[in-house]
Amino acid sequence: MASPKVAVVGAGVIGLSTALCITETCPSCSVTVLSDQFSPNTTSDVAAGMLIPHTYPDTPIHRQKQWFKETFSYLFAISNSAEASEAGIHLVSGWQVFKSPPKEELPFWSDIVLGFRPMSEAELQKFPQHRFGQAFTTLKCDCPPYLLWLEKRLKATGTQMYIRKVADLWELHGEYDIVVNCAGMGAQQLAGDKQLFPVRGQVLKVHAPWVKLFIRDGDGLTYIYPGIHRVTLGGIREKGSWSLSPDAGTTRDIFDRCCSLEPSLQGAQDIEVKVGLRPSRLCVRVQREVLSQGGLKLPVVHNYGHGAGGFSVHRGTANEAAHLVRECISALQGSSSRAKL
Amino acid sequence: MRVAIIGAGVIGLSSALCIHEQFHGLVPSLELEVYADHFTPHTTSDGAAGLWQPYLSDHGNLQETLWNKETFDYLLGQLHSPAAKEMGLFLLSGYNLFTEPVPDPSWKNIVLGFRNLTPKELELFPGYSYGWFNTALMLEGRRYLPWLTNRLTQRGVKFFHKKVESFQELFSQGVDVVLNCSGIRAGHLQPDPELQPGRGQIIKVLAPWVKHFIITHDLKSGIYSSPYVIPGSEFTVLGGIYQHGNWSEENSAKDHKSIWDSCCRLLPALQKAKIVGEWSGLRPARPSVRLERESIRLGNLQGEVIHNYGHGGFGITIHWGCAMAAARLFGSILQEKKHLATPPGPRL
Repeated sequence: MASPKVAVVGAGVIGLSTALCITETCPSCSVTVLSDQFSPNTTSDVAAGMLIPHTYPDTPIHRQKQWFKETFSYLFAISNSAEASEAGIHLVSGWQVFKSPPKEELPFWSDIVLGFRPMSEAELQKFPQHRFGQAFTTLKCDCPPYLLWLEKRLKATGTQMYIRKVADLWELHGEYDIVVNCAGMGAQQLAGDKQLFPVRGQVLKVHAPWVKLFIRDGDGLTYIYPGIHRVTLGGIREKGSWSLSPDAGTTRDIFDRCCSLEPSLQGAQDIEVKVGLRPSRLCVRVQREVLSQGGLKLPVVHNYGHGAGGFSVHRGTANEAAHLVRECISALQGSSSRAKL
Repeated sequence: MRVAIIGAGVIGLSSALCIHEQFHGLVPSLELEVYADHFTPHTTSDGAAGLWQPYLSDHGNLQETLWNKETFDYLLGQLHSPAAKEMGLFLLSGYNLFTEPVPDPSWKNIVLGFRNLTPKELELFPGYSYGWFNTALMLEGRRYLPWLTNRLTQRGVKFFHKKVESFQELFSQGVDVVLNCSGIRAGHLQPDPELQPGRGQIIKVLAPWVKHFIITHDLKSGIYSSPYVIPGSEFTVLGGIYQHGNWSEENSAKDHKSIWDSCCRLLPALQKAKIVGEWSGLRPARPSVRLERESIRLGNLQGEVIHNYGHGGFGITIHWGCAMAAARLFGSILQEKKHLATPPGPRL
């Protein structure tokens, strides 16, 4: 197999970063990205892109930590380079505040982000309703810039990208040797995965350029994340809802909750409301599978189900998926050489 | 009781506001007038980035450290008020970088969350081996001065676009007390060899991805002569020039190159930043702030002067503490002139 043809389904942060990792890990591959949506219309474009991990209940912590560490290192290097502004990657410091003491004093990622420490009494005075807090510096991936930067890197490797709705992975059999399923919520249909469910999120992207620090309530529901041009205010978690329409009551509620953390947001302008469906799962599915149907085989690598934590672990899972693709290639080459005997 | 304030930078306007707030109710005849040759946006305060941060060492000047603290605490208290945005006031975190370990500064417990940098953080800044992280405040002159002006105008304070040539000029017009907040040009009103320009130059760029201040220090060259990057609400300020004794307010191409090259080395992403302006200004440098009363007598003219100038590169940092101190001096003047039974205001 001279040049294995790999199709990556999905062009959000997972699809694009996985495609890029594949071009890096398997330079002989020909990679094509297929998706019904590209930036700025992916779920990733709605997200703030903050590197604060979500904990997956069924993925071993060491694996989540490894994913986060790889992602953080990768982005840290970009943030420190001349490409930082084009890639939309920047450092941001801030506070995570809790009304009641958090379950864990030290989250698994506390030694990966920068300068993690408890908030001082003086800092907590700014949050009269909160009694405990953590201060740290982390990274933010602004979308669309980050996705556009990934697309640019992919084009430079010769990767083709097509707008195409893939209704069934078998459609791609014959055209491609390996399929990589980074379809996010679309994997429910493509992989028939009933363990995948949407958690509807709504955010406000506002103009408030004086907000330079992030503030997040430890319950994960209220957050203020300053991006390059806009500040993302959130949020909500509606499990099982597929609605992509903004809800006015939710908008009001998010705005009020954020203003109570940061009163100056009352002066925010140009409020844009966005909705996204977090493709949620108890554990992220990064896994090889060989589909078979009527004697035909289709090697598939799954990389979906990142829920609320896609940006935080994207590069780590992309690396893992790329290695699985390499394994698929070895398996194909092994079987094709056997076929020659 | 006519009070003239000379100077409409951060010192003049805040002193005027402080005095009016504290005394207008007690002294019905109080009339405040602000005289200045430059108003916002053409004052020295307008060019400053607006970061609250004192110099590294207070040289044993505890009084200035207290005034700095008073200012920080006052501003922190204003953060949640609806006025904050209009004042140009917001929190900002950032880095102070050194090539060798240094003692903690006098202000370490004034700012929020002061700590040393971790080794991983220092990886961001090759060439620097030691540093601090803390959260401080920004008070942008280009917003704060108009806000102060509005508050003063609402209170009936009058403004005069006029270069005052002498204290006597004002006393002869019937002014009782003069507040000398003339900054770098105080020497024109009364010679002061201790007051010297600390010339600075800055480049304004669009770099909205920068969310931290970064101030480097070269202990041999002195304060502000090493690159710094300070993100504001509209643009980011790049600087790193401090030239003692240089009176030029013209932008220098050599200084531009020095600032640009050194800041881009510090933050490579700045290479892509668009330059939107450049400015030079003269920090009114003095070994210590001159904040004191003086009785001026010339012939049959007599008047009281309260000097409040010489705040160098920390005017915004110290302004409110000095304004309060100036107000206290004013109170003692009133007491002496029997306008007041006892001085008002909080007892320290």
